[in-house]
Amino acid sequence: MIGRLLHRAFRANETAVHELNYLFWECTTRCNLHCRHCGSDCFAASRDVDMPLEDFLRAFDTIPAEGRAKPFTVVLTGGEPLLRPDITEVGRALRSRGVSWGMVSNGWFYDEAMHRKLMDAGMGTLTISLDGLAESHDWMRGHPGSYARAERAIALAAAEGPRLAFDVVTCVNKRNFNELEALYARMKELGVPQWRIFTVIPIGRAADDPDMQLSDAEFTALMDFIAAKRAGPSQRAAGNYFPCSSSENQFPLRPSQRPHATGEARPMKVTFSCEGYLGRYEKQVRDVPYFCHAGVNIASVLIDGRICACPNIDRDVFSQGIIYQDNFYQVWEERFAPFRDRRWTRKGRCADCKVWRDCLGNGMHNWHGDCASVLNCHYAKIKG
Amino acid sequence: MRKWIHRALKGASLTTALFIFQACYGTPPGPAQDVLEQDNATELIEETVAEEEPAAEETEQIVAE
Repeated sequence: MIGRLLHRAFRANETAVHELNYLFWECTTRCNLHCRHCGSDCFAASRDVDMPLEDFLRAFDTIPAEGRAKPFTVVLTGGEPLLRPDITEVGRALRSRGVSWGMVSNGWFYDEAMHRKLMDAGMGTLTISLDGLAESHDWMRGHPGSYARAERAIALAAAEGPRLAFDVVTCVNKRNFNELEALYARMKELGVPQWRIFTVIPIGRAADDPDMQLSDAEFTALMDFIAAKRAGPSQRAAGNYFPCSSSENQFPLRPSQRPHATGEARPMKVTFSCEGYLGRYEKQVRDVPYFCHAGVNIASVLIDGRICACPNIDRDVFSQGIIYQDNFYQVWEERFAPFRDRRWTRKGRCADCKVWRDCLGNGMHNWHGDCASVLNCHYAKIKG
Repeated sequence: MRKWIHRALKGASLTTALFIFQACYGTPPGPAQDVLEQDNATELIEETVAEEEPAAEETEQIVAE
């Protein structure tokens, strides 16, 4: 109980300070794949043109030096960021401002030449999506061969070593639920330092797809799976860059690509994403207690210039300004009230909830449209 | 006062983990920041550009040929 009270106090303090540490840039909404769970509803030929780099930098440069916290990371998202022809120019512009940057990618265009170009442009952090073994992943991504491309990207990134903070994310659904053990084994073989698991929010294309949503029993079993994987002693060292055996990899790596070459298997950290409050599983599936940082430490510049928190939050409801009309940093400092005071979430299913003080209405991406009630209650799933 | 508490907690090695968060659908926080602080970013970029672009004499030689 004391721990929970201290965490509430910590969260309240962080919210009041609202240091900006993490800035998403939705730099394109074009995508070469057609994923069943896409929250952005991206297409190959998006109706939105890519935002020019100069427009983003103009907004970014409103952040004064003292407002640029440490750590501070710009994350390129989309769409598929690698569809931007100027991706390395973007990276260099951010590095020249002393900022760490990274991206979330489906890995399709991530070959060795691309990897080197991105590293030379100072990329510091990377997430590759892998949604099951080959058949399930290709089904989910709507494109044959996408698993092989993603695995190639993973092998390259895993071999990079401590210069690149890297993880793999998996969106668990009914189709890949029974593949988790096999996927875990494969990612260990590939030398992945961290595997992050999340579930689907019923928005975008996923809203009407029954294969996307886990039942309550499946969700609870997923928590047990993660907890079991985290219980081993190797988890304490996991997430660091340990030697990786590439002998079993589909994409063998040159000795020069291996940061360490003793052939010892690398421990892999498994975590559940910070998408919702998990009650009794809180200490078992994450490193730190649940805290939705959207609008507290996280902002985004969306494809059309709107300023919001995480890009998967309902932008029509929660956008706080637009970079073409407002000063970005002023918006960050003076607006974002719905993110920093969440008492408004105490309605619908949350109205009489006894864990609301720890949950604060779950992740902000779970509030859409008229916001009459929360879309997803993780606590109810594990309670039932 | 709040900023002071924030800085004090952040500075204490036992609690820095609290500040290392990851957006649900974002990339991991990690050692990249340390590398960035050690590097001189501008120098790094200049070196990379210098490697990619041929020297002026080389360009002149190619044009002459």
